[in-house]
Amino acid sequence: MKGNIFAKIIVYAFLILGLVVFITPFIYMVMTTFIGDAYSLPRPNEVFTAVPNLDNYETVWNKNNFFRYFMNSLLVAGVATVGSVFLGALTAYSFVRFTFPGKELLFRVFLFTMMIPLVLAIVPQFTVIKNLGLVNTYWGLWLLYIGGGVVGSTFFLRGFFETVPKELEESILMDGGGNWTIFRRIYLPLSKPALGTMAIFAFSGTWDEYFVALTIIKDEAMRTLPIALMMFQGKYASNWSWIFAASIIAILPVIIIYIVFQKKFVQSGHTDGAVKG
Amino acid sequence: MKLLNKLIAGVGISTLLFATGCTGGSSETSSGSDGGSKDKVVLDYWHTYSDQEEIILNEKIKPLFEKEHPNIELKLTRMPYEGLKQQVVAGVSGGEAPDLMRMDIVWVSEFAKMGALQDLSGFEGFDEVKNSVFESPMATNLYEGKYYGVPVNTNTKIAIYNKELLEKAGYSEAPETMEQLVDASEKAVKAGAKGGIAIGGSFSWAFLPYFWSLGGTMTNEDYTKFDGYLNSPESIAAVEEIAKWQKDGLVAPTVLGGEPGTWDGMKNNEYLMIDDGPWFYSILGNEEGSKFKPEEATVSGLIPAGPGGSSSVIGGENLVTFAGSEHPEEAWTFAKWMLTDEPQRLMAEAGLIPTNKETANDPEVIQNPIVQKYVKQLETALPRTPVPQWSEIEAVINLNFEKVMRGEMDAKKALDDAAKKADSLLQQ
Repeated sequence: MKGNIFAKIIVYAFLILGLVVFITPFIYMVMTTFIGDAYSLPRPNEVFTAVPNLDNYETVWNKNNFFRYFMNSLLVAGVATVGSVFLGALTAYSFVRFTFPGKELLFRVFLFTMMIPLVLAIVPQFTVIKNLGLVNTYWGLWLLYIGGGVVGSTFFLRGFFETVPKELEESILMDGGGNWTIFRRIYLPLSKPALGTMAIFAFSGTWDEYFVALTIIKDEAMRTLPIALMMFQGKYASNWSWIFAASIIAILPVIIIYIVFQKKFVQSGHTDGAVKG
Repeated sequence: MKLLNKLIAGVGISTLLFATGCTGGSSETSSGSDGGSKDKVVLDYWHTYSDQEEIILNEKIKPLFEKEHPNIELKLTRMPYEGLKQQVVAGVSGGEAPDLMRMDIVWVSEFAKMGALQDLSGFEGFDEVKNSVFESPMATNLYEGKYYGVPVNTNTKIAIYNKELLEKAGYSEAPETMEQLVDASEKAVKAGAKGGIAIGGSFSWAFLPYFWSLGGTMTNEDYTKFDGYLNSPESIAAVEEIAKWQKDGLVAPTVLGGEPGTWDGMKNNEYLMIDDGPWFYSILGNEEGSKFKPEEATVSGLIPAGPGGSSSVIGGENLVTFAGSEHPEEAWTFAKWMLTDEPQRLMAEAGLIPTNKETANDPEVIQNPIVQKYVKQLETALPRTPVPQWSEIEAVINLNFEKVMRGEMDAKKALDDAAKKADSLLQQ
């Protein structure tokens, strides 16, 4: 019993230490946004005596069309998230349910594309998008985001779908349902935790994406938030309080999405007891 | 991290070469298809002006140019710095590069070698433009005897001293020679300063003013050979002198990327001397609610003279036209116009130093005594070696310089090695 408490203390000490390590930079960042102008990073005594105010947030929000870029990003990341998770689920389903020639090879090719660094692929990708006439359109951006995202979500969801008992499908087949019904009634509801996780990955991945967006989108008015964020960085000096304030606005949606979906993480797949014996 | 970026840039460029090789350089620019009537040419212009500069560009430069040239419309796009080189590479290889771009002077020869830029030497009125601007910035556009751009604004760095520490060291004015600088640094450090000479880092932009002023040289005059110049006895002596400062504790931690940064150390009376461009005054002077007033708290002077005189490094931007542009004539019209007196005068309002000699020497344009010092320093400032392989060569030199600063390599060995590698890179 005593050893148990001792172990607990150690575990909690580690957890608290971890928490402090992770949260300190974030708090430092938030405190920096309360300082007037900071072209060199402020020192701890300046930071911790700053009076909380929203001046910098207001400046940033009204500067460089920040609001417009925020909405652009919401549209781009929203569609890309739904697209890549939905298509990824369909693809994963086919890899789990169907047998077709070259299935494993195809899957390997899928995985292979995940391992190519973005910068290497950007010139060929851009050439393809240009030949499709999709430069400077969100369609071009979605094509790349969803195309890239499907691979990841297929890989992730295939593993999850394989844990769904086959017997559950048989109940649908008995009732005369087809693959679509199985997918919709069995796989999707049972995979909510995995889908939630995937949605967060897909959203934060496209929400933060800078390089492809800047390459494909040529019009200033159509740019996304990460580009607007980078605009706050100057060649010789950057106003850190602005950059940090803008960054905090930019990560808010990701935090909200995380809170919305985080409940799903801890739930199991609801399949316990679904099949007898 | 820096190395990684270099690597990425290198890979990106090789991809570009591959891609342009495949497409045979065919390009169909679609600029002009969006907006504007048929007989009006739309020029796509990428720039990286800052907030204040962009206001002048949008509200004064653009209307003025379009009024004088009713058949041309400017489409301005401000690009962020992050990954900019790769953006240009992607744009060029995809045939979606803009017509014009204002790019850092050190990029021009590299892009010229790729075949991405338009040779401007043959255009009407080129020689006049060439003769109207400062020689050194113009030289940064040269590649294999042809000019691929024109300098649109220039800058350099001068020495900036913390007034309080300078007085503690017993000086009332900026040191004029390297001996005085060393003497002042020794006294300032003894009096408690965290650093005497704050060299901004171990990269060429930061250390070249000291290297050159102490007598070092990079290459022969036509930039074709490093061996015998970069590792000449004078160059070795220059690096040894800087290494000695480092050993004696005169150099601030910034040279190896340490904290506080140059501005931070200057603001908090910790560093005796930093070197920086005119933006030090314009940015910090505009800092709201700051107690630090750069013009009152600092003393400025030319880079202290050593065996090599007082020599600083040239920065700034060139205007280039891309080879794939459908409107090279109109693009040239704009580039030429940007270098004339009026636009140069307008951009000088935002603190950019004109490249047009007449404008820069007009006392009305440059009334500020500090900006006058920059213009004076420009007379002896040198460009970083304008060769296409510069970014790779720079990486080699920087690394060896850093090793010397860390005491891991002696100056002679470091420079011999760098010269050899630089020469072999130059052959590529």
